Amino acid sequence: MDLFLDFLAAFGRQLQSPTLAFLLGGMAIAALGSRLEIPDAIYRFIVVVLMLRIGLGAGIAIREADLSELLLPALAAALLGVVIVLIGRVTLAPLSGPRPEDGIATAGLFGAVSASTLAAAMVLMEEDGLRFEAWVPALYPFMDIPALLTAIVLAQLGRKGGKARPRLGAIIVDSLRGSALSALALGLVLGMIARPDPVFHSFYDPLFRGFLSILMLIMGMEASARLAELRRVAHVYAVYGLTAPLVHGGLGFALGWLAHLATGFSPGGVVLLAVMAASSSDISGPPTLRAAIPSANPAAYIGASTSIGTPVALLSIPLWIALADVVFAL
Amino acid sequence: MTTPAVKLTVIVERLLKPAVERLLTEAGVTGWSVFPGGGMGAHGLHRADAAQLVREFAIVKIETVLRDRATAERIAETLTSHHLADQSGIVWLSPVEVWRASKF
Repeated sequence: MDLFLDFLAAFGRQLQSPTLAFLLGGMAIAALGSRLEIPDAIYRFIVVVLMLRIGLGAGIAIREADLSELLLPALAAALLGVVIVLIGRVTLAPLSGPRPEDGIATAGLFGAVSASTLAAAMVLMEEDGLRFEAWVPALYPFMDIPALLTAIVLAQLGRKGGKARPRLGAIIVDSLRGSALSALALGLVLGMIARPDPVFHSFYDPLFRGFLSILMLIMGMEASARLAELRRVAHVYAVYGLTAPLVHGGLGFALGWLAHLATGFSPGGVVLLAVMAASSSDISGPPTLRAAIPSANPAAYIGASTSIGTPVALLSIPLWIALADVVFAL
Repeated sequence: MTTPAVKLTVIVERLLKPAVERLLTEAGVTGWSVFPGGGMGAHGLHRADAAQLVREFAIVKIETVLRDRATAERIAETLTSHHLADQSGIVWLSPVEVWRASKF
């Protein structure tokens, strides 16, 4: 009971942290019909700066890291990406009505990773003093790409007729060329081979939290706006959006914990892996799926991901931090 | 002095812009204009200026002017039967009169 009360108190504190408070504020202000809007160019700039910051931070620290440690968590990340989509294939897709592609595409987005959720988790963990290996954010593509590919392959297997099939190699290249992953990769490489420390400490790092708060505001506003679309599709998407992040995060935590036992993967790394598994792609995943599975209804997968999945994944970050406190007796 | 020509207008989500541009290039078209935009359609509201998480779902208008109507019709036909079979978008042709016919 004490443990539960502690958890509730910690959860309440986290909701007041700027990251989650701005998300809830964005949802509230959009629900009230406010005309507040953030210009699109600013939003795109913020995503690039956040991803460069994450990449640079990881790249700078990787210089001294032992990269062989990365192998097992990277395998776990890829496995999670595939398994999450397979779970969605057998649970959500049969329930989602006459078109299983809608369910498969939704599972694909939930298997993929949200850059904004990852950034939010890093800030919340910093506030909590929970440390993780510098290379953990670089696990992002290891989970993201296998998840999207699994969904696309599953959708192709179920498709009748001989329409032109998108080539998987082209999809991988296209994913890596996306804005968020390109910025992350560029930051990683610059962090490793150049000496960007001064600009990192004077520009990217100080901007990180402020920019993240604006991104959270946008995510909250978008979540409210997309809720109307979700009302037009089956209720099962809302149920999936509410429960899947918790199930996936639990799976991520369990696999991370196994990696902790096997190679000493840090508790903070376990939390970040859980957060990546819980998150669903809302920026780079949708266009990839839209292009590769054109018959799936975007209102279903984007509605489930952006309006419910992402807020639930963000609000569940304190849950994984609290779980780590208990499991690893921090 | 004006010359009759055909204007091909395509409105698609940004997602399809590369496919449309490839089609134009393959048809021998050497120039076109791309205008970002917003509006209302089968997929709901497309915002013009406010932040939208997925930029590829914003709409663009792609316009080109051709002297040869048959080419314009061929491009429109391929576009609607291949790319717009299961993606949203609209295509139209309109007669125009151009100055400096050598540009087209």
